[in-house]
Amino acid sequence: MLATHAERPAVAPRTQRLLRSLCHAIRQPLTTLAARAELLEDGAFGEPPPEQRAELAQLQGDCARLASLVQDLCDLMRGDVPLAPAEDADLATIARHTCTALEARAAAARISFELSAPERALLAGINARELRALVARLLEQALRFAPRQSRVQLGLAREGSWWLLSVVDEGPCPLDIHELHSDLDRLQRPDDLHGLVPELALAEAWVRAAGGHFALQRTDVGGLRVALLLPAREGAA
Amino acid sequence: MSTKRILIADDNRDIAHLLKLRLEAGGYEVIEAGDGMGCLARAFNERPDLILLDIGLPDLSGDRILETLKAMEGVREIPVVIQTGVDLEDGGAELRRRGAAALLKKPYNKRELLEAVDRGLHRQSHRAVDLFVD
Repeated sequence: MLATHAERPAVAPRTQRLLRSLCHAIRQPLTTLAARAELLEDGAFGEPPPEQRAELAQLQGDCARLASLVQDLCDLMRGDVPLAPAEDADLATIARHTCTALEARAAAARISFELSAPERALLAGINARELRALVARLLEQALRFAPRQSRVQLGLAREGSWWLLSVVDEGPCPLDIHELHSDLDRLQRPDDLHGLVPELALAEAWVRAAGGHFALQRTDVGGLRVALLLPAREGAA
Repeated sequence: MSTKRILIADDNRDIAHLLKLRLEAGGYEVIEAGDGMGCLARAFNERPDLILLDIGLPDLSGDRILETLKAMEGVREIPVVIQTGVDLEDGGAELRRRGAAALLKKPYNKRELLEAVDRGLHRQSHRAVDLFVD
């Protein structure tokens, strides 16, 4: 069950203020970046060549992702944000829809999705919108790091009173998984922002707030397996 | 139908410039102010059809500007669309109470921008019951 407002850990006022200022500062260039990309796409500065359209679409996608991450950070750090209303969500349907939504991007990178899931996987007391964001975040992270011509596997299986969701890609991943937990850096290259994976920390925080469990594992082929357990709805098969 | 005039009040010149390009491409006439006092002066002197107000202007708070606009004879009917990069504690309820027509959270896309402007202008014309969006 999702944690209630009162159960959320308190965040120091100074940290809150700092984060609030940072989010505000980040949103200014983000606004101009997104606006410029849209104006370029619309031909406000001359018709863009066809080969630039894909790049512009990528830029817009990156802006949207960054905006979403900034919002996630704000939500996670603010102790006074009411959680979205909980409901019974179907993780299987969400997983299928998310794979479909990201299929074109995966195909462009020559990565194939493999989905293994039952027809339905009902969860108790989970907000569907937040769950969709979580699954998308995990898959996007896997797509970013999976090598070309590789697979990203999304599995969903019942484990007692839980649903186990796993996302497995073929790497890279640090030899010591604890470094991934502590540094949030899959590439382990200092000064390389591309390797950072804040979405894993956000996913972990969300899963724990939802009363679930979260784990990272290095696979035999040097990839990453993200596994999470979420409470199944009572009586649901 | 006459061209609608929009006053952009934003101290970020880059954002103001891009807003101007987008709104002019949408068929609007645009005038600009880089601070709160300039916003009040241009609103009073030029009577735009809508004000797009950033609430983080350097000299006057957004609340104060809104309050002043709503107290000024001849400009209080001008719809004000607020844009902000801050997560407002009350979700914008106080700004709504003070008369804001819409709230745009940064970053926004062109659809959200044009929709908020259109709704604000629509309210001016038809006095719809509730056009506050977020």
